[in-house]
Amino acid sequence: MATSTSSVYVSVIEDVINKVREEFMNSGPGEDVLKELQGTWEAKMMQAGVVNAPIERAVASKPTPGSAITPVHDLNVPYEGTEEYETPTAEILFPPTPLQTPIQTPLPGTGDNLYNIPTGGSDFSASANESGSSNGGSNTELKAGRPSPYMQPPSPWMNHRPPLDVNIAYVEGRDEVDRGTSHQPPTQDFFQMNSGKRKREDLASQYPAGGFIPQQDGAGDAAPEVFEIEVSGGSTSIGGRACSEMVTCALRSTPKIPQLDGPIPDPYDDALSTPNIYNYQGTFNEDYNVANTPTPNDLPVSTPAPVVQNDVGDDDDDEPPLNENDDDDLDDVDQGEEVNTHHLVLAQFDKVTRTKSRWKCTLKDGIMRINNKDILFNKATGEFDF
Amino acid sequence: MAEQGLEGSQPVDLKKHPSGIVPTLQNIVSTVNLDCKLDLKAIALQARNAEYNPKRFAAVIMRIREPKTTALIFASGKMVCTGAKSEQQSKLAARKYARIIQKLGFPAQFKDFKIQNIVGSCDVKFPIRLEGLAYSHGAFSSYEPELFPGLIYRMKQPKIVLLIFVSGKIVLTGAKVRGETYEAFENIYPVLTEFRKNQQ
Amino acid sequence: MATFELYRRSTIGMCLTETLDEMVQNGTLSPELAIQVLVQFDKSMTEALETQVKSKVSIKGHLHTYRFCDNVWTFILQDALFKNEDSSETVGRVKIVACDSKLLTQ
Repeated sequence: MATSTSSVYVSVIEDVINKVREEFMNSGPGEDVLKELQGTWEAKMMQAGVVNAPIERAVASKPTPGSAITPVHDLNVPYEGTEEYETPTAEILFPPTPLQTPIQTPLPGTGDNLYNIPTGGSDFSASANESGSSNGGSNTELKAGRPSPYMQPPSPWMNHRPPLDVNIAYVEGRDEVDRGTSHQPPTQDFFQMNSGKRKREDLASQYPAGGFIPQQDGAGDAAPEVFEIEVSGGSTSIGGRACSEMVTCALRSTPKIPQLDGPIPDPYDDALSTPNIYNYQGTFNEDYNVANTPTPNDLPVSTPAPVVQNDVGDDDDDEPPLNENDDDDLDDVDQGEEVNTHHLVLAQFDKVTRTKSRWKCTLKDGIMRINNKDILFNKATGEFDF
Repeated sequence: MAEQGLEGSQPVDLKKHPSGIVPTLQNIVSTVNLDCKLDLKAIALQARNAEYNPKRFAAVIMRIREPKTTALIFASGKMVCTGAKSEQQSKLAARKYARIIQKLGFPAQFKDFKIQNIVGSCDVKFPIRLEGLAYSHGAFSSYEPELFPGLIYRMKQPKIVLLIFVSGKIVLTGAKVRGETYEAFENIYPVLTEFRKNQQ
Repeated sequence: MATFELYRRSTIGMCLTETLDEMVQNGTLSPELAIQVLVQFDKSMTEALETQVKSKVSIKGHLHTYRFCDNVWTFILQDALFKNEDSSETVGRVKIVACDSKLLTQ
């Protein structure tokens, strides 16, 4: 294991301990408990094999003299676990009844969710108060509670979160949705969304968005409109440059037309791709030729034959009701299995982009747990094939 | 639909495709109404391969691998499915998305499925004089190479837009049924041969 | 200073959480104080990663599942290869959870 990981961890522990010391002194438990905390924490880290013993301490962080507990026992002795730190004083073992807790709280251990502590929110959200929201919506969003798929809060006393209704958290977005879709075909949303900031990369691939405008009032007159949109988009930059951008774009996309007889870069390629509705700086293409998808043999090729129409409300449609034949073996709902997380990377992302099935991301400030090793990184680049 | 997927592997029906070339369908856009209000965030949290960023776009974007497609799912219950290579695949994909939504606990139905656009393409394998074509078909053509290197041909019957490139590659868009794509190509093909570039 | 609670799921964060948990359970520590410690951990860990860590890593793999919601990307990779300056590791399946770095700088 990288020594550096160990030393970073040690410094984090010390930093935390030093910075909460005042609170421990002021609000009750005092130095002894703080030392117990540090000792137990460090012990667990050593057990987990992520902190090297003995811990080299900065001189400054020496324990205050006179304390009943020696927080740092002989670290050369194999560590036995937490008991050592819990034994020292009777006070710790048998704490004076309901505690010196400042607020009235029920006894611990009598159930979950007893501590009504407003914490930040979901485990990944920025902590409360300071999320620096740019608008009213983002604040709620940051703190929105998150159901289990991401992670379980590790302990019951962290479990109690302000009850958050996801429906409320997104009121703002919801309004937009309703505005966008109630009176207009959904395709409308597309263009509203696109008309905002447009990256030049998008230009070519948006071209076939011609597909969308026509939907509203007939095939013919729509696509021209699209073209005009494109043209004006292109002409805001220098004309020639817009062209070369498109060509560049085309160069990046692999030829996907059977008839292609040469790798001539051609905006034609991009004209074929699906409109780029919403991307992270990548061109949006659907490439059916990519072979990375394991195709189940029993893939139903045709629409399932109509089954008995037992579904009420399936009125004016000759569609068979949705049924298990429509299930997708590969891309279905998470069935709670959600993967073991023995290997886990926790980080911040700077950028995530996708081009066809190729995803790229840049991450920073990460902690990885890989093959029982903790590895920290300042930057990481990821390249994934979907 | 009968001949779908057979292009290139079967002899071309010359009655239907006198040019001998059958445009390949590249992208089908379809819409369907699931006919129930959807909690997009709940969907994004539970379904796989979903993106939801309401500040940027008021729909969940979901992908499945088979048929390889992308769906935009709106809170209203409307859904757009893009990327399929045939009408059938588009419908199959749309049904799969609807089923995923249904399995998340929404009373999703499958109403008013409609193919909204078909994008096809082909290659006539000879270069084309776009200027000449634009000039003689001025009423239908728009060719401004400084803005876009292809010629945009707005056919009236069928109502299809064609992008014609100097290389001989053609994109046809705007069809609701593939017959329109084929018909448009057969209409344009004689014109293309007329403006075939002679050199090289 | 804005922080993420993300790192609480790391080894060091879990060790701290467990410790606090035990201390709260046996009455040594109030839940309120325990939470303050965690919040301090969020800050200290973030700061340490920013200032003390310099290494770079590359990650490759097959993207089994992705999700973007609440400004968090989650990737589940299959057959992933991790490389840094001095080692490389492969894993059959790994989960990546990443918060939007912009939220800290806003």
